[in-house]
Order: sequence, then C-alpha cells, then structure tokens
Amino acid sequence: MSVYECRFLVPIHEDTDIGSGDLHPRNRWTKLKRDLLVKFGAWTRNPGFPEGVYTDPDTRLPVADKSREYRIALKEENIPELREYLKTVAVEFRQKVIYFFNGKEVEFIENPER
Amino acid sequence: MNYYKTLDGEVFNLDELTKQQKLIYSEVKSFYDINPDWNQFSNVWTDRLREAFAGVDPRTVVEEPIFEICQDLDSRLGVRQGYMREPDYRDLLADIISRHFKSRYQFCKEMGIDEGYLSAVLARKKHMSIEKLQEILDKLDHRIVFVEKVGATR
Repeated sequence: MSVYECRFLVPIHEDTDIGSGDLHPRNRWTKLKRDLLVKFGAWTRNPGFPEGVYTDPDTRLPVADKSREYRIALKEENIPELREYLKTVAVEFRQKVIYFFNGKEVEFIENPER
Repeated sequence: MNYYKTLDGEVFNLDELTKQQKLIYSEVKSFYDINPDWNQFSNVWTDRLREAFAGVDPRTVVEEPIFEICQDLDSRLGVRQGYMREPDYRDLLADIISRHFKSRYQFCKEMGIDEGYLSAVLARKKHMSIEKLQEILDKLDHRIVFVEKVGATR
C-alpha cells in the first residue's frame, strides 16, 4: 500500500472573526501534540513559520498569519482519519479552515461549527 | 531530591526516572538552556522520545513523566519566544468542556448557561463573573489554582 506525505498548517493566531485573534494558549498546542502522537504516531514539524495571506470569504478582508507546518507520512487508508481530525483542529484552534495537503492535492478542511 | 516542577504546578522526581530517561532529560534540558528555535526544539525532543520508546503504545508514552517534562520545556520555550500564551480561565474551561462533555450544547444545558454567552466567553469577547465560574467549577468538582507564569520574577 502506498504511503503519502501529508501536510497541514495551523496558524499561530486564532481567527479574528470567529476567535479573538490572539496567540493560542499553550495547552492547545500540548493537546495537538498528544493527539498526533496517539492517533498517528510519527510526525515532523517543518522549521520556521510559513507566512501566508488569503482573503477571508466572510469579511472580504486580507488575513495574514504565520503557521506551524506539520508533516505526517500515512497509508492511503489512514488519510480520512487525519482529514476528520483536522476538523477538530479547526474548532479547537478557532480557524475557519485548515490548509491540508493530502499527498496528492490541497484541501481546505472547514470548521464544522461555523 | 532532584525535582522538576511544570508550569501547571505538577512536580516530578527526577531521581525516579530510568537511566535512559535521565540521559534524555539531561540532553533535552541542555538544549533548552541555549534557547533554540522552538520548532527545532520540538522536533529534537519528540524524535528522542520516539527513539527511546520505539514499539511502545503511544498512549502510554504520553503519560510518562519524561514526556510531560519535555512537553513542559517545549511550552516554556514557546511562551518565552512569543509563539504561544499562557492559558487563562477561559482556555481551561474550554478544555474541561471538551474532555467531559459531548458538546458545548450539552455543557450549557447541564449548567443552565446560554450558548451564545458561552461562545462569547470562550472566544475571549466577554468575561465570566468569578461567581458564575465558581458555581460551574463546583458542579464539575474542580477548583481554582494559582501558579506562577513563565519567567515570573517575584
């Protein structure tokens, strides 16, 4: 079975529209790390903080932030589990979407509580 | 006794770590002391533990004191370098809700709180009164604890 390198980005600030725009509390990052280890085993964080800008579809305002980038090698059958988990990440990190590269193409995982 | 105290006030006896874990602590702490890049530090200690606990159920690994200690050093660095903040009562309340309730709706129903009000509090747009917070914590068998912040000098 093929193994794919998946990547996702978690901005270091909450969304200003659905959250406070503040940095995340440390317990949020702690939980993410524990969840990734328990659910998916190995992962790597890419060095630095990729910066990006996108237009918020609701406010029509440009949004810029730095993100932490995570890389996980997964068998194809396990990718849906990561996709599902990233919905939780979107909720817990107060994001409208989470940028996710599934090994083949980019997806934007939406916050189900919006 | 050599001990390590976490940001949340938990104390670990370093003398009770295994020989291998003591070595890991020494390596990780030495690296922490030079104030490395936060991402790099995270990768180093997680790789080190992954290597040391190869084949062990990850659910066990995250409960090990050495994991908690390294995670705490990670948090200290992240806060110091300005990439994360200390949690306030709203973050801790959100944590309790996600751990003990299926949904915020269920929590609000059981506590008799308006969902919109809770959302505003957890989104840091409003504060909850200390009386209301204490009432909720009493129902959940939790209490308020004061701990020092990262870099406290008093």
